[in-house]
Amino acid sequence: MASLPAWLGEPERYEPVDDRSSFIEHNLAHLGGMLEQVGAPLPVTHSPVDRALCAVSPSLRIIGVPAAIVCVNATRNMLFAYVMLAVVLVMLAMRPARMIVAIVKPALAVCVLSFILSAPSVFIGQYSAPVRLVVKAFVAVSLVIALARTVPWNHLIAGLKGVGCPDSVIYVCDVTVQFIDILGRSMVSLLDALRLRSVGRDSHKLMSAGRVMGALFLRANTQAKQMAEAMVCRGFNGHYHVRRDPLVTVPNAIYALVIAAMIAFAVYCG
Amino acid sequence: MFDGDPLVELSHVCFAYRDVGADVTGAEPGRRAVLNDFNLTVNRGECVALLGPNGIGKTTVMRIINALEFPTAGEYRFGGTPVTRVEVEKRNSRFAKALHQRIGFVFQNSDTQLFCPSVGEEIAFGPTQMGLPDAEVERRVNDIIRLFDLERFVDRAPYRLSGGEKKRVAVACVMSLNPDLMVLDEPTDSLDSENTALVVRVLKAYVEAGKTVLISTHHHDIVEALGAHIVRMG
Repeated sequence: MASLPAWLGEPERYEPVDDRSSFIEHNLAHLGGMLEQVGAPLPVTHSPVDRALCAVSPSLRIIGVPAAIVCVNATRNMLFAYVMLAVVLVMLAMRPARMIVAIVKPALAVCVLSFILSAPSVFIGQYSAPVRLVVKAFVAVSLVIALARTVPWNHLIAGLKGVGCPDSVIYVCDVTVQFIDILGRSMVSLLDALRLRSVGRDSHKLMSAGRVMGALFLRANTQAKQMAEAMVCRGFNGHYHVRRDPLVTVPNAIYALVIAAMIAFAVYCG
Repeated sequence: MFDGDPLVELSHVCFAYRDVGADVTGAEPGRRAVLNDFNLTVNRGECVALLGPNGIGKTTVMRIINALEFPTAGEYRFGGTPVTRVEVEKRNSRFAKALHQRIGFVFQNSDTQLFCPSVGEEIAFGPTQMGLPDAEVERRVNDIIRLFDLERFVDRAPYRLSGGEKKRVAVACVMSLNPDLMVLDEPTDSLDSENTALVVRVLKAYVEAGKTVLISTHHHDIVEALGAHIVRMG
């Protein structure tokens, strides 16, 4: 039988004092939660627009979304940007409410930032510049978030292979996405551990937060090495092999036609 | 506060995790049910073992007891006091701090529990937080280090230790808070037989000193060695 020190056998008479959670703790917890969501499985979406887009090859969508963004930003005629804005808004309106919020919130945040940055141009006579920038930012951000929210990461990474990305780039993307998720979970657990033992006044909150971040990066480093070793042990030789879906399908053909029409319209608008 | 009986009382508790990926669908509630009408009573000075297959909700029960999660239905009382999200998440919450001092939680994965640069600082973290005098903190750290046979590791960084050593440090740093209830999630998983025996001896002595222990495990020999009251889940 282990002999416990006397104080462990006595009830603890401890009355905690007031202490605020620090700004940095709150933000780290929020950041951890967000990172956790990056690699989370995506929901089965019931909107008709997403059901239709699911049938399109991720490789094509990886080409289509940047093409749309380049067109919106390259055209000087605002007619094209307004048409794209209308398309984006219609697609948004056909999605479930929570999906709309998930897309519109960050898009509006970028719009506000764009407006603040471009507002001074009004003083040099560029009255339409803030509106242009806000519209283009909204369209671009909405398209990217919608892509990230509706296509699972593993499909996007497989899509990169389809558009001829080098294996080294795919490896970095794949591992990064997986680790963002793992780091998010680890950060949430470490902050839980910190919270559970922060039973009094912590006069070194910044140091405690720094310790959590330090522990997290050390853990990330160890795990990255272990994962690389595990991949090598299972025969990974630096080449990614993904299942090749047939590229010539009706949904792919329709999507490609839409993208081609969009580019043609952008060129026409100038 | 928290001085009533029984020490832990979960009444008709239901719990469902929000499926992180499902929160944007709108069409689906996106929740994954884990506990349904679950009841548990742990009296003071008792040792209780939660047994059950993987994924049945043992860790969830422990997270609810530690106020890391809150029941979606039903009630949780600790020491006769209802534990609610409102009280725990209130800013400047003395309630949460008092609760966390009374309950020590040893995570299943020690890697996500240890965040200090050395084992000594890890063990001293809790007593220092409690505002104990330096001499008392030092005494507690020394006592705990001896109790868990950690003398060789005092200045070592926790992340450099082996899995079993980390687990011992995790139990030690929680015990330094002198909680009324020790909650241990599969505490002997990464331990060899010698270290398992050490942890079991300490936990047994802890219970005999009048404290309460709640563990989840798959090892029946541990349950027998602790003389624990068994609660089967599922």
